Amino acid sequence: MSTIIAAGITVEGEIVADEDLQIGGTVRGKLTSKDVVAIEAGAVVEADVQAASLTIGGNLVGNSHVTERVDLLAGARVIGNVKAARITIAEGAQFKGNVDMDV
Amino acid sequence: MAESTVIGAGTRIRGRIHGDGDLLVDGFVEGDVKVSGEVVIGASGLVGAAVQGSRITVRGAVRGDLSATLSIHLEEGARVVGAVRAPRVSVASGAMYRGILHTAAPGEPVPTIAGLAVTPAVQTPAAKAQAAPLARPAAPVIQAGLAVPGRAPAPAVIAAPAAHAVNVAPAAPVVNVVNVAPAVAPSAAGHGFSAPLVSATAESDSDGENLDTDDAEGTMPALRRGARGQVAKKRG
Repeated sequence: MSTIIAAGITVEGEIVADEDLQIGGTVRGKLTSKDVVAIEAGAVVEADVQAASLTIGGNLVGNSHVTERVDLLAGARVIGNVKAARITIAEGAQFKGNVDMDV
Repeated sequence: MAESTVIGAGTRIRGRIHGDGDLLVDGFVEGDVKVSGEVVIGASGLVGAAVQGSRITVRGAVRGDLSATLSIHLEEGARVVGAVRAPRVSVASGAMYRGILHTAAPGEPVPTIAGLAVTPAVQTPAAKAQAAPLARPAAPVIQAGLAVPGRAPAPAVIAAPAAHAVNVAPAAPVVNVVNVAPAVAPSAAGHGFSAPLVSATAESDSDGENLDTDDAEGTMPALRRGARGQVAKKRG
């Protein structure tokens, strides 16, 4: 079972999860998961993100620290630094920030 | 709304949740919840703040006021401490509840029964004055206990639930439960101060109180016990 923040819902504060996080709504604060975090198209996340894996189709403002991979899908808009072992940026994704791949 | 919001059993949220849509809480939420749709607190769910929605169904634990525009259902296994207010309210057999209950929509006056003035129970200033001094003597005792390493102070903590049961029962019918907390000061204060102590011994202490709270409000031991397993699991 995973956690879903659906479109229309806003969470202001800290989310800590041992499981998948699927964000379709708005999150402000801090986001931590031991598993996959998915920020869907239309979602707004203004938070620092820590996760095993991060997929972004929506808006992210904040730094992300990911142990495995980050995927910026077409339509993603990211402002912030990304630290991850692997990163993909799809054509059409907007990105402003530093990338740190531990090289 | 295509899909509703789910707070899974392995998720903890500290902060506010608000907006349009339905909400299922199987995890832990410490912060006000205010949504336009239906709210379900699942059996493993724990909410430590006020909840507002159109319909609220509780199978888990809530410490805070529940307020719904349509209905509130406390189902079997529900553990609720706080005011409940909705036009329609049901409490199933097996639900545990302590608090004041109004069958009226939020913001509307409570219907009066002919010849009976129904007023919300409010704690009198006298009761507050009495509760405040009571709370203080408890603190040094527990803090002294904190200094002792290991399990030595445990009996004092284990005694707390019993004290609850005895103290709370007579007070409940007249006083709003949210306000009752200070009145059971010796044990209630013990909770607040004992939290770090108990967490150290929690793994082996089957009768220990819940550890996860930083507030000093007294709650039903059952409420905390119900939540404990889940919280302890996550911690480990």
